[in-house]
Amino acid sequence: MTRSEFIEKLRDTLEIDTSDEIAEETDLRSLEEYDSLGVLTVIAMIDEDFGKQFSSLDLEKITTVSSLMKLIGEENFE
Amino acid sequence: MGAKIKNIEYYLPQVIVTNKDLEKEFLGWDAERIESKTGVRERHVVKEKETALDLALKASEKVLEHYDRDKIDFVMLCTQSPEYYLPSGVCILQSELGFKTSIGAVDYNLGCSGFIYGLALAKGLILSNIASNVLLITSETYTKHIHPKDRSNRTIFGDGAAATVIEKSEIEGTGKFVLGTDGAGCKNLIVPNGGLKNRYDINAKEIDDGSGSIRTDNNLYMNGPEVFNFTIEVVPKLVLEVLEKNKTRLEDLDYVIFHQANKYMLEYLRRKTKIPREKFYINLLHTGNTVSATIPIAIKDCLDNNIIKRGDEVLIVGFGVGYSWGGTIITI
Repeated sequence: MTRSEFIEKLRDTLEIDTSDEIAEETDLRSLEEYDSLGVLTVIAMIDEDFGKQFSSLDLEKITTVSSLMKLIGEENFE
Repeated sequence: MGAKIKNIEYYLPQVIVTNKDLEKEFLGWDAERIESKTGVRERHVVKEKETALDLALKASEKVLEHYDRDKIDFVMLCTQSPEYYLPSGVCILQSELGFKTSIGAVDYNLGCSGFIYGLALAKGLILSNIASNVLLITSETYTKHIHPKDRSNRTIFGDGAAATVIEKSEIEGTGKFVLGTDGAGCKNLIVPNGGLKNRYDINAKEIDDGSGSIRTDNNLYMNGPEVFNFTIEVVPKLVLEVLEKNKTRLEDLDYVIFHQANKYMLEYLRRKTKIPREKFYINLLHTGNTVSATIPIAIKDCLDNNIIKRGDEVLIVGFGVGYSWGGTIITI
């Protein structure tokens, strides 16, 4: 998928309001939707769309949207 | 000749904590969002002096209203919230409930997989003629282990007990089991202190998980992401193995009941295992996750509401703390 498609998917998954800005530089940890429940939805999304699972240690290192994309692997995005 | 579930009753403690209550306690926690993601609207919690054994007694009395207690020749109590280190809670249960002294009785320590293991053990006891009528009690009070400021765990878990009578029967009512264990996950769902490895620490420091929950090492710790990863990896395979071992296909099943952990995870696992929505039970609205009691409570709920009927083939699957997991197909 394209990078912008991924961001939209992430917005959907976390149920972030369309009026809220979300870009590659957005720090996920600053979003109130990225709480313990939000993290589960992201884990499910990554498993479903990329067939990957990450340890909680890896997930804890996630800061911005682009750091998440790096974790998933840049090669997965157009 | 086989083992068959004869009757199930359950008991939930009287005090109820609703999502609205949690919303008032935790700034930024939204009642509607909690319900839509976790599937929980309210959970029952024990009072200070109320224990898992108290709940076990109440659930047992309920099931014994319609079952002659003199027929019971083996009792098993599954809990991770024991009355004492010793003696076994089940011995106290024997005298409180007035069972014969010639019964066998044992406590065992499992959580979310507890009912499946109890059923497996009961089947073994019955088929080997060690027992004929087994009372299996799964009783849990995780709220006693949870820190008052642990927003996440206080949302998910509830207390409750179920008492199930399993009898020797002419037709086999319990299929073949698939069981599993992986201690690599032991630190992901744990109460670190209070046992004999690490004693209860009166000066235990508060740990902030960075996302709104506080606990100490005296309290329950659950690494949500890791536990979710574990279920994604293990549960779909478990379902396939149970079907294969019982020479059944998904289409042949009447219904499926997974351990009721949380709605979001269950929905995801349902999609991943391709179980049709109408055959899949998700209901923890009024109970929360009652650990080893979720499956028997679900079975009872389904029977009471005609979601399943006697003779139906139901796949039941438990997974969680340990890590421990198991599944089988029962004929209701």
